[in-house]
Order: sequence, then C-alpha cells, then structure tokens
Amino acid sequence: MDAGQWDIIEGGKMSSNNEVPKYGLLTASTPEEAVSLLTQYGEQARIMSGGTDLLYLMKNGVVSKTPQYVVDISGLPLNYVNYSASDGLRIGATTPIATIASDPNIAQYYAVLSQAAATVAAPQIRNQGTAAGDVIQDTWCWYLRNNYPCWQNGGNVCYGVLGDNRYYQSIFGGRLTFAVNPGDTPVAYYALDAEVTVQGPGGSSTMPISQLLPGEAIVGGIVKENSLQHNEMITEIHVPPPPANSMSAWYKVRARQSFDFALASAAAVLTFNGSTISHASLVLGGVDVAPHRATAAESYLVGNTLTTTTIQEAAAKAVADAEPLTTGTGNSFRVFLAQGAVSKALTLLS
Amino acid sequence: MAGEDSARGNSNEETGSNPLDTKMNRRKFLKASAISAGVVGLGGIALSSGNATTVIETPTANVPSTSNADPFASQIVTLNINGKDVQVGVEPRDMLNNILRDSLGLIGTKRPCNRMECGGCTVLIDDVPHMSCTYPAFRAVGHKIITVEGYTMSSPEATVLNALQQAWVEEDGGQCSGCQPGQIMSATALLLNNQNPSLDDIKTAMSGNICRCGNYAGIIASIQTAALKLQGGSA
Repeated sequence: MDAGQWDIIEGGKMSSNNEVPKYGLLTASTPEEAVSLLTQYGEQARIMSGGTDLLYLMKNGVVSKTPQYVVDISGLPLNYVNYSASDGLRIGATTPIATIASDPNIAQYYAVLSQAAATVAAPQIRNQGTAAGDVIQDTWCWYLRNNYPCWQNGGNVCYGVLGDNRYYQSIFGGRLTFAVNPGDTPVAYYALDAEVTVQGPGGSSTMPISQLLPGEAIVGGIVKENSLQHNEMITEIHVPPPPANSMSAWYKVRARQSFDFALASAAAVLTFNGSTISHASLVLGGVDVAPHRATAAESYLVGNTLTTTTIQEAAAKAVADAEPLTTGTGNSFRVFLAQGAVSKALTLLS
Repeated sequence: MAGEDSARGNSNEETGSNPLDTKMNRRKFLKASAISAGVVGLGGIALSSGNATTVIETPTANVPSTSNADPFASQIVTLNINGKDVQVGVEPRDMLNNILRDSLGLIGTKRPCNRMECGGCTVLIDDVPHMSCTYPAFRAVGHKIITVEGYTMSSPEATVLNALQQAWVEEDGGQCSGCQPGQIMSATALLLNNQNPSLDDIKTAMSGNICRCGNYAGIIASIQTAALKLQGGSA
C-alpha cells in the first residue's frame, strides 16, 4: 500500500475514543413514514433499529456507512413473534435477537433458528440487536471496519484478497468484494426458505431471503451485500411451516466459545421418510459473501440415511467446490472448519 | 487506544486537572448546559432564562420530541436512574454511557472499549443487561435504568446487587477490576431471573463481559456465593 492510501485512512473520521459523530435524529412511527423520511433525506439517511451495527460503524468512522441523519425505527410496532401451524412463523423486523433465541415455539418448530440466534454475539447485544439487523448487518471484515477505501467503502479494491483474509474473507470466491456475510440467523433463514417483507416507496413486497442477500449487489453505484435500495426497509421475516417429519440443527465454529463471529457455521434442515432422508436443506455460514447453500451435499443426502459414512461424505461434498484464497495470509484452514461444521450439524440429527 | 483513553478518563475524575482532556471539557460543558439556556429544542420552547428550577418544571420533559423539526437539537429528557428521575440534556449522538458518566457523574459505569466489545459498560434497562456505550440515551427515556450504584435503592435489584458486591469481596471477584461494574450488572440480571443458576447458566449470562485479567474463576465463584446468600436470605 502506498503512502497516499494511508493518508486517506489516517485523514478519515476515525475517532480515537470511539465517540459517535454528530447526526440528526429522525423518528418514524410507521414503516411508511420511515420510508418517506429515507426518500426525503436521500443517501444521507440510514435506518437504525437496534443500532448495534450502525453505531459501531459510525464510531469507527467508516465513511461510506456513516449517515448524517438516522431514522430511528425502534418505536415501530414491529417487535413480535407470531407462530401458527398453518401460516408458520412471522418475526417483526425490530424483534430483539434474544426474543428469537428464547421463544418456545421457535425452539420447538425451528430449532436451527433458535440455536443460531442463541449463538449471536453476547447477551447484551442479543438484547439490543434486532431480527432484520442481523440479516443485513455489514461485513465485519477488518478492512471495512477500519475505514479502508475498499469496494464497500467507496474504493475499488478488496484488501482482503492480498492481505489478512484468515477470518472474514470468502472461501468460495467472490467477484469484487470477498468479505463474508457475518450473520448467524440469516444462515438459518436460508436453510428454512424464509422470505422477507420489504417496505419501499411503492409499497410493500415480499422476496426470498436469497434475493435479499445475493452475495454482491451494486445499488446506486455502491457495492453492497444486500439488495435493499437506500429507501427500503425490512418489516417482517416469514418462515413457512416446518414440513412434517423434519428436524433441524445448527453448529457454529468460533475462535472463542462465545461472543464471536463464525469462522464457519452450518444449518441443516432434513425431512425424513422413516429413516431415509426425503428432503435436505444444508447451508454454510461465515464462509461466503452470502449464506452458502451446499447443493451437492443436499442432493447426495436425499435417499440416504444418516450414518457416519454418509455424514462424512456429505461434509466432504459441501466443501468440494471451495476456492480458498491462497494470496495474502490464505484462508484454506476454514475449508476444514466448514467441513467439520457440516459434519457436526448432521451428527446432531442422527 | 481504548486502554489509554479509559485510564486518562479515570485519573481525571480524581484530579480534574488535565486541561488537554477534551472529554473532561465535554463533561463540564454538558453539566453546564443542562442547567442553562444553552439547551434548545425543548418541544419547540426556547428558554429565555436558565436556571435549574425552570428546567425541572418543564412539562414536556418526559418524552422525546417526535416532530423531526430540528433533527440535531438537544433536548431535556427525564431518565429514571436507580429509582430517581433525573433531568438531563441529551443530543442525538449521546450514548447512555456518556450521559451517566459525563453529564451525571455516575462514574461507577465504565467505558473501557466504547464499542460493544467488552461489556464493561453494562447497565440494566428494565432489568435487561445492555451495553450503555452503544445504547442511544434518547431511547432510555421511559425505561428503568439501574447502574452499579443502584445498591442503595430498596428494591429487588438492590438486594441482588448487595449480595453480589459482598460476594465479590469475599471471593476476590476482581483483580484489576476494570470490568467489575459490568460483570456485576450482568450477574445482577442473571440472579434476578434465576436464583439457582447452573455453571452453564452463569457462563452464558456472563459471556458478554470480558475480563482482561482472566479472573473468570473468581467471577464465577462470586456469583455462586451471591446466589447462596440470596437463597439463604442472608444478603
């Protein structure tokens, strides 16, 4: 890196004492009002739900992520978890992660989501961070968080490719940005085929979570990891009813046993006909720019029973197409962690 | 660095003599502005003369403005801290920790990392632990805030706090003790809900509080001792 680039970093707004820079507070009481404020204030305004991600970015002075205006939606009536056997699960956007982790219906019918929510960060952060916030939080790549001018921060390089890519870069390749999607609950939502309701200026619409988190989206000329326009907000996450005779499990590998992001995680939802698997949904987290569906392992599992052999074979197939970075520090060790996570999650179901 | 910052802040609370400390200035400024006419945006009412009585009697003080008329304005809000209502000036960027420490002088709550990575700033909001360094102060309006100083109240929280603080002394729960107030607040939330926690319950509840000295064994022993005190009613 040349001196000029360091100047950009040193000359940025990074505050030595992590204080939040000045911002204007706008409060909304309905999703329509929030969207109308976002439209009115344009790119200078961002939604704040729990604030655990946004305020952290602002404290670190990440230029492209620091708004002049914050639209506070904590007062919206979106803090709810509704379950019914016919409709499935509906989670309001501002529901705290802790509520998802402790809800008895989610624990009973969507174990993978309950367990994933329980492994998010720390108790205090689960109490403040929200359902929608965990889905669209920005990557925790150190280069972005330290205001390096990368693809996601107004620049045109992914520093992780040639730099330290051990923890926060994809092992399944990338296009422009290689930084992983850091969430835990979105991995479970992917495996459960959830859909997301988005409020925009034109009204409310519903999309599959894979469309919300495409891996890389260029929105208004900015490289992002979710496809939301600047004046759109998530209002609800809907998970369909669990299929009969299905079971689900979650396994997360971290450097610390708690309060840490996934080095690799696995969400497995299997439907059984007797002891034979009739449908398999297997998604890896923390290893790709979006939750990563292991399609080869899924098709292998269908028609098989869970044995030590088939579990090992499925885990191997789940990472067979991995392309870990060999430049910079390299991150091939996480291929083995991902393989282990799949093996552990499937073992929990056997 | 966060460590230097924290140490500097602490030493100033004792000496108050370092003119280079901008946070000290900010604290003084906020203390002054809370009782002066410098605070504007009070539900659209501009105060013409500033004294403490005028501010406290202001009827619009207990809900934040939702008018969006002046998004950057400071407001006087009422916060319920350790059982007492306190009027204080809050601007949008103020986190609860800034208000507690810098405006109100409640320095029991620490600010070690100031970015939700250590838990040293933990307070209870409606008996649920939150990291005050990254909790917007305006959001705390209308909620019950309890800090480590809350042991003087007469409430269930104070009973637990007293048991914990006594146990902390007996079991050497603190080494350098920088994380101690945050640890005690997370433990308070745990014991309020669960008077007989298992080892796993304790580890889960305390997983958001990092001890740089690594004194986790002492912390766990302190919580177990406090739980026994509460069960025996001897706190």
